[in-house]
Formats: sequence, C-alpha cells, structure tokens
Amino acid sequence: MKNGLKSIVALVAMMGLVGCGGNEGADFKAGFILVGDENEGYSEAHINGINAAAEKLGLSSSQIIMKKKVEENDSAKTAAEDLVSSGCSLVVSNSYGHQSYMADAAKEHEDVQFVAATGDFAAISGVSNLNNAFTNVYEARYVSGIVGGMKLKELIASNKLTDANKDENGNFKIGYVGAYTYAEVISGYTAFFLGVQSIVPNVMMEVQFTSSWFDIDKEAAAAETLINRGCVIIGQHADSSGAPSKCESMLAAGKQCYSVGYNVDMLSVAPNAALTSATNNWEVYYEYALKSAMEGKDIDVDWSRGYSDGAVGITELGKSCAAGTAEKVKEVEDALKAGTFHVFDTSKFTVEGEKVTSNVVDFSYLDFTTTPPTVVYQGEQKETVKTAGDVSYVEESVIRSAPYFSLKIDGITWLN
Amino acid sequence: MTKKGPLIRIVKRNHVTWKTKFFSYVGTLLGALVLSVLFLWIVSGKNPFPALGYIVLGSFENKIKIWSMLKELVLLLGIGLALVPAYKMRFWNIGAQGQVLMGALMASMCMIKLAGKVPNALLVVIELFAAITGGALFAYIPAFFKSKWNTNETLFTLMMNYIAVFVVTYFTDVWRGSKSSLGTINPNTEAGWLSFVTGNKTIDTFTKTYMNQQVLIPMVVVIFLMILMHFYLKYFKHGYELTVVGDSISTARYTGINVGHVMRRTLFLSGAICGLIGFFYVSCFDHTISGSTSGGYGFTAVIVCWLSNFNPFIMVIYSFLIIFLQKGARNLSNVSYAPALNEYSTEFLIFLVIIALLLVTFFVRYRFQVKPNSKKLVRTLTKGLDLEGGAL
Repeated sequence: MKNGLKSIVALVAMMGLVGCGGNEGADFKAGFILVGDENEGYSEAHINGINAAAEKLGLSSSQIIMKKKVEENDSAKTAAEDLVSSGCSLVVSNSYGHQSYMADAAKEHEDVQFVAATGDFAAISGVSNLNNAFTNVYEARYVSGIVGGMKLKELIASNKLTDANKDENGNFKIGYVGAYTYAEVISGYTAFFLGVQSIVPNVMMEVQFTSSWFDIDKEAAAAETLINRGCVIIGQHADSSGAPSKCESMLAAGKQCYSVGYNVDMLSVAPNAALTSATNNWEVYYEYALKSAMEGKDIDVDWSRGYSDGAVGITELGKSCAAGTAEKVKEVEDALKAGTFHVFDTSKFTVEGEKVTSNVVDFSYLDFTTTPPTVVYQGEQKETVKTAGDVSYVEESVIRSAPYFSLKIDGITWLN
Repeated sequence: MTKKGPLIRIVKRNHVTWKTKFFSYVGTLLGALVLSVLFLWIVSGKNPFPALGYIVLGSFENKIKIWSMLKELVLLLGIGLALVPAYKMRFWNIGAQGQVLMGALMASMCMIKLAGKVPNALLVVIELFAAITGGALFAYIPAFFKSKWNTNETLFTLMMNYIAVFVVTYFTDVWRGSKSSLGTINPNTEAGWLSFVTGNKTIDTFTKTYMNQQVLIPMVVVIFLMILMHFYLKYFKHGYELTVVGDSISTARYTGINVGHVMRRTLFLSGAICGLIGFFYVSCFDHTISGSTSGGYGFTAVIVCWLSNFNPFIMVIYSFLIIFLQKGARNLSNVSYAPALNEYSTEFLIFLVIIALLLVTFFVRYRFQVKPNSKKLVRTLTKGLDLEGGAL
C-alpha cells in the first residue's frame, strides 16, 4: 500500500519535473520566507531585491525558492525546514515575527545559514548560524524629510499656509502616520522630522499610530486626522498607500497637504500630492548574503547599511516638489555617502529641553509577559552617543542592525 | 382560487444507491480535474501536467511536507469534529474560529501566568483544562441565548468570532510590550510547551527521524476523538437526543426531550473540542498566539462538515482533499512554474473542486422537482368549479 502510494507520487513527481530544465552543476540553493507577496509593498521590495541579486550573481530561478505569505507562527519553521530539505544552504525570512521560528530551525540545522531580516536577537541568542539584517532606512527618511521641508518652505514663502497650519507657538505643523510605537518607528520619524527641520527650523510634528503594518483604511483615516489638524507634510511608516491617496483627495478638495511615502513610489496613487518615498534597496544585502553563502563564508550577524552602500534611497521626485529640491537632496546624499554627516547630531535636537550627552541602550531581548519584564537573551548595555571630531551624535544600527534609537525628542507629539 | 406553490421545489431524494453515489462523485471529481487542467493550461500557457505534479508535491515531496500536511489535516479535522454534534442538531455554529481562539487564549494565559510556578506536566494539564473550558463557555453563550430567546445562532456565533479576535489582539498587545510582536511564549524555559518526549531513546530517535514529533500527540487525540464522536452520535442517548432536536424541535418536545438543555449541552461539547484544538495550536505548535491563530479553519471546517454529511470518518477524506489542494496550490505558486500561477490564481483550483463537490453533494441528497402535475391539478379544480357553477 505504502509502496503503491510512493510509486504514484514518484510518477507524478517525475511528470512534474518534465520540462523544468536541468541546472546540473550549480547545486547552490537559497530559500526565502516572505510574510507577503508582490501585492504588498514591503515584501515586493524584498522580492525585487532577491531577483535582482540572483540575476547579478547568475543564479537561475530554480536556485532561488520563495515561500510567500508565510504567517508568523509555526508555519515559518515548517517553511524553513522544507527549504533546508530542498537543499537550501541559506534561508532568509523577512518579517520580525518569523525570528523565533528561524531560531528554532537554525538550532536544528547547524550547517545552514539563517537570516531573520529585521530581527533583533541573533547576536545575543547564542545560535551561531542565525543572523539579522536591516537597512539604515533612517538615512533615507532624513533625505525624504529634506524633500518635505523644501516643499514646506515653498508653501510658507508663497503664503499658502494659514494660522490653522501652525501650533500655538507659531510652529508649522507636519504629520506622521506610524505603525507601532517602537524603536524602528521612532528612529524613522525622528530622522524624517530632523530632515524637515533642517530646512524649516520652526516646525513641529504630530504622530498618529495605526497599530498595524498594513491597513489602507486606518492609514487613510490617520492621514485625514492629521490634515484636518493642519499638518502640511504627511510622512509615514506603514506599508500601504492609504495616506498618499488621502493626501491626494484632500489636496484636490483644497487642503494644503503633501505626502512622503514609504517602500514604493506613490506617484501612481497620488500624482499631485506625493513628493517622494523613502525606500530600502534590499538587493545590496541579498547580493552580499547570497555571495557569502555561495562561497561558504559566514554572514555578518548584524548587517545594516545605508547610503554609503546604496542600500537605501528615495524614489523619483514628484512634480509638486519645490524648485531646488533635487540639488539639496544630492548635497545631503553626498554627505551621507561620505559618512561625514550624522542624522542624529546631538546639536540638532533636545530631549525635554536638554541636549543629549549620554544614551545608554540595553540590548537584551526581553519577555514582557512578566512584570517586571524578564531577560530572555542577555545583551550588553552600551553607550550610543559617539563623538567624531567636534560632532557628537547618537549612533544608530551599528551595534545591532535593528534600530534602537528611541529618544522622544522635543517638537514631536503623539496623538494616540 | 387555488393557492399556488413555487413551481420548482427542492425535494430530498429517498433512496440513492451506493453505485449512483460512487459514480456521481467520481464523475464530478474527474470533471473538476479536467477543468483544472484546462484552467492551468489556459492561465499558464504551458504544459499543465507538470503543474499538476507540483500540486501533488505540495503535500508529498518529502517527509517535512507530508508531516506538515498531516498537521494541517489534524487541525482541520479536529475543528470539523467539533462542529459535527452542533450541525447534526441543526445548530449552525459558525463560531469555531472564535472558540478555538478562546481556547488558545486561555492556554497562553496559563503559560504566561503559571510558568515556573507549577511543574511543567501539571502546567500542561492546567492549560488543557483552561483551553477546553474557554472554548466551551464561549460556545455556550450563543446556545444559551438561542435556547432562552430563540436568537439566530448563525449571526450570533459569527459575531462572537470578531469579539474573540479583538480580545486576543488586546492581550497580545499587552504581552508583547515594546517588541514588534509577541514572539514565542517562554522561549527559554519552554514551560507549558507540549512535547513528545517519552524518554525512551529508541522511540524518541525513531519519531524524530521519521516523523514530526509535534504532530504525534494531536494526531492520536484527534483520531481517538473521531472514533469517540462516531459512537457518541450513534450509540449514546445524547447523540440520539441531538439528532431528534435536529430533525424536529416539536417532535423532540413531544417525546419529552428538554430542547434547551440539549442545545446548551451540545454546544458546550462543540466549543470544548474547539478549545482543545486551540490548546494544540498554542501549546504544541505555535507557542504563541495572535488574532490569526487557526487561520480560516473555523470556516473551512463548516464546508468539510457539510460535505461529509456529519460523518466523522468521511470527514477525513474531505479534510485531506482541502488540505491537499491548499498545499498544492501554495506549492505551485512557490515554485514559480508560470508567472500567472500565483497565490491567487492557484486558489481558484481549490474553489473549483469545492464548488464541484458542493454541487454533487447537493444533487445526490436533493433534487429539483417541478410542482407535481401542477397544470393538470389547476385544470381539474377549475373544471370542478365550472361544473358547480353550471349546476347553479
């Protein structure tokens, strides 16, 4: 009976392999576990990155196996094991919630390299073949803030803004649609705010959270709230086009509001309101990781790169961008590429009115289900304020790839 | 005048032979297969047979895929079994999703609150008990309302799903703290994790090498449950009572059955099994909880239940078929055989087969009947009237 079943399976399997073409010789395989698919900006960016990197390295499509729409539960581990059994020597997952299951799989398959992208505990977990990766997307957010700032400056100069666009202290208002209240988002919106502020010093920002990474309706509603409160530039750290679409419709209805998006170019949904989007260029990481794995080299436990490696950027500038934006963007991008410029320069912001001179971060991975939270993986406490020459800055994504800048700087208000 | 009934009526078929049934199903499945091949051919523009191969490989390519398929099968079948007694009673419980979630939530809560305070074995038992109670009580609520005030159970249980999702989301938000997601519960101590370790080296090595240890306990429990459910429905007084209530509430009342009591008791049982499955999700597989724990199986199980005509054994076949198609469709899109065969288009195959099965099941059980001799009847009656009129 069992043999009968086996032979049927084998027969069908052979049928399945007919016409697939052989890739004898090249036996390297890599597997990717994705939380979404091409229809969702975040995973789409990963898929594009994977494909571009594979093409560059001359890998055929049969050497790259993608598992899409894998939930953040035990199925992530099953997917990882399945990829290992298919012969993958590199397995990468792209969502934070996959991390625990990747760790489980990594413990059982020590000869395979695992990467939990956007994860945060690889270095302290004691699992030697588990790695984390991220991008310095805060750099791109700073640059996208410059674009927003230039637009704000233009609107102020042309007297398009009214008192409704100012707070009680006369600061111009901008807004931000954030997903959750953790470091990744805080680091991002702070960089965006500092970018705007470098162009328009008297600015303040309101942040509305949606408690979801992808929710078109909630993101649109958050944008609407912010615009109705007088916010002129709407940034976002959430994955849908809800906010740009809302900006477009409210702009058409006579409001002064422009959108700075995330992940993908938003011009298709907001041709007039979209200025630009901050993006990750995952190709850079995937090329590095695939190459390392192919050559049998270890992958960095914590990898995070930004402008200097081309791992982040902004999308094409929209037609509504202010004159001179491209030049200003290039200037800042060049400084970031050269490594001479630091986004979180402590002379540029204050926390409760004070300049930041020390910011010690605990890198432990905690279990918050207990009170007080208990340590799952012990990490070190490290000082993140660094000095280079005569500039002091808060360092980000160096000690650990996942963001850890979580200072609440002055000028930014949470609405919810 | 004569009262006109509907011209076409749905009539239950009485005696359908085993042969007719067999050929109807085989024919339908073959038809669905032909349509699937056509679909694959047209959409992909390539030879459709390799695509069929990938569908089979989705469940059978290797040990991992086989056991992953078995895991899903066990979970879906488990939820299906939970629905059987309720459905047999014609209580349309579509709240399995919420009942599973409640069980899962109770289990997680025990894992979090009692970790380190009680021995692991006891913790697992407490979790199990809490999960079963959680699921059972959550199903009891709509049954209570239905028995007292005859509320609509379909809407009621449906809405309870949303409540469960929000309650679970609330707790996961509290528990995850400042992390992006909850992650696994008790990752270091593994307190409250149900694991298959017998201590016997031979058995443990054997199961680890050839099987998936995680699936073993739930699989045995669900098989046991399936047999138990068969006997419960067929040979126990409870099973008889709920069948009578399902056939006719009035008959049940006349024979002295306390309908409300049977309703509440049955739903309590239904929810308890859902809670048990919730326990498996948390304690055995995911070690975490989220609003999407159990995916859409609470609803898929409804289809399984109806197709199998509430027969626990037949349910295995339909559960397998649905899981097989799901795994196959997913595998087909993952291997990127053709760009057009993505996650969405391949799901159409599942839809195709299920629709075909629903149709054949319907026509095997029922038939359309044009109102019997309606014209003739009308003619006779009018004639009678004429005669009477003539007589006057």
